[in-house]
Amino acid sequence: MRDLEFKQQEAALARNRLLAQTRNWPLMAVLVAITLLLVAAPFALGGYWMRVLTVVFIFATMAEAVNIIAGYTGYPALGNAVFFGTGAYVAAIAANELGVSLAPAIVLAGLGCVTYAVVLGLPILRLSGRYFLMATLGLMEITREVVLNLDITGGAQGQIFPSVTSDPVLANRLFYYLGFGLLLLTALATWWIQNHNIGLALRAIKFDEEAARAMGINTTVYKTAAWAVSAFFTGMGGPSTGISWPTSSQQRSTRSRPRCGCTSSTCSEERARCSVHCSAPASWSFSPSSCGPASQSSTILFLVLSSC
Amino acid sequence: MEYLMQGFGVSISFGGVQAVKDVDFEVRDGEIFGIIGPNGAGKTTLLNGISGLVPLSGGEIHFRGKRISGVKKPHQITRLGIGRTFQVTRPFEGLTVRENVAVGAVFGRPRGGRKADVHEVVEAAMRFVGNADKRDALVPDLPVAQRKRVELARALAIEPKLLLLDEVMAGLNQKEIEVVMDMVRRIRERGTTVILIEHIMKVVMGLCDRIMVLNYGERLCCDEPDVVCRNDDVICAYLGQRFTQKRRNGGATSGA
Repeated sequence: MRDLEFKQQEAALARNRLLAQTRNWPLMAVLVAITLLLVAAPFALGGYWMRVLTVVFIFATMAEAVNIIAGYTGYPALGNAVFFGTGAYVAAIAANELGVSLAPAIVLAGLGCVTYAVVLGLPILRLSGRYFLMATLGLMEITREVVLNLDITGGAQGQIFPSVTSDPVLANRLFYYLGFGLLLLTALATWWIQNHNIGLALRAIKFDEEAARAMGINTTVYKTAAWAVSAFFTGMGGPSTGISWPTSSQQRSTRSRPRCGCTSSTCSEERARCSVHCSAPASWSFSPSSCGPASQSSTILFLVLSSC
Repeated sequence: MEYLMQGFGVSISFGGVQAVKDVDFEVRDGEIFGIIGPNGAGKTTLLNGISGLVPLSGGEIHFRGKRISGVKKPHQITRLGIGRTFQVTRPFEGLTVRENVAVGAVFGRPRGGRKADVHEVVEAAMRFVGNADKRDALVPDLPVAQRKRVELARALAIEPKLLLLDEVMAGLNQKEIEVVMDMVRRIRERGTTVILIEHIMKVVMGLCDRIMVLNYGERLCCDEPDVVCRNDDVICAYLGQRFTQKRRNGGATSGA
């Protein structure tokens, strides 16, 4: 009797699930359409808009990444910009010192950040709430100070990434798809986390960490994993942005290595052209100052949050 | 005789405050073991010590003959088969009832979560406590009695050998208490040993096989219910010295 009742409930549940999915079909259709449009966009858009979209993709990637630790897990990691910078440096140093090419350099950047997040996460994730928040901000400032004073990072000069391609249009497309790919990857990862046991564990930790522990969740492992995943995607976003955003390199021309096709002089001569073609640099540089604005905006966010 | 759980000189302190002092206890397999005592006696602290959320400052706790205190982390203790509820209910507020229970079923069971079986365990636990119809409700929308049931279902979903119930009946009305008492009995019938903290005497006397009384962190006595409630120390702890004196004198005169 009970079995029958159980089976009926089961069937009802399955029906509900199917209904929910079919009810969502317009949304799914819109999503697919937007994705297809974005895939085709580089063939219709000019360099400027492609550049704008590239930046949008990468910042969306980082927002998704922060959401994993700050949203699902409930740990307000305001200092995630640290992985943005660290990733960029790891990629640049790998490219310059080890001669690694673009794609593996970006993956290395992600993995470097994972290591960084795990090593630092184990102590820092013992803190919670505002204490964790302050620790992440501190971590960011400390990292910036260390980067400024190390030889391997190039100190205040920063790093210059070697040429990827000399064709600006090709480079533009490359970074566009790189950013888009990263965004899709992060969105997929988030979707997977949400629909998997990991997501359940992270949300449980968010609502009551002690109760989660009492329910058999190894909170240390899950918290650290969440931060590591967050760091991985933020870390890959770092070099991708650095490559497609060479503005900081234009003020410094002390290095003899060829960089962006338009140096400071050509830029000043042809500003209109530059707005299109600067967006397709063949090389890029990354300096500690790139951590600056991010850290400032985080600080502002922090102030806003604390005044709430 | 083999005990399911044994405590040897368990002490727990918070800074200078010693909440539990040198308490010995033993829980037999299959019994309902009550812990009572006035407010602040250290009942909940002892439970937290058992589930590993608070470290012991002295003594040892053994489960099935093996030491767990100081060796196992809280999630490992849970996976050994020790489930619990919290005094002030602590369900995961942003999760639905079903998801709450699923957390226990997925992470709390010894073998981890096999997906096919998770669904059945969750449904069974929800049906046992009688809130399967609320499976998609969010916890903050539920009244206290329902929240307590969510906690109970969540703890049952880990399929515990030993269940720690911290005042599951506080704040419920008479009818709800009867229902939960019946549930606790059925839990025991399924072969789960229960440690129960409760203030409501009707529940304690009606359910427990043995009762341990704590006062100021120390064990006053540990015996069968009717013996415990005649114990002078216990009456003194609950009702004060003066009442005990009066009772003693009164008892003497009526006896004479």
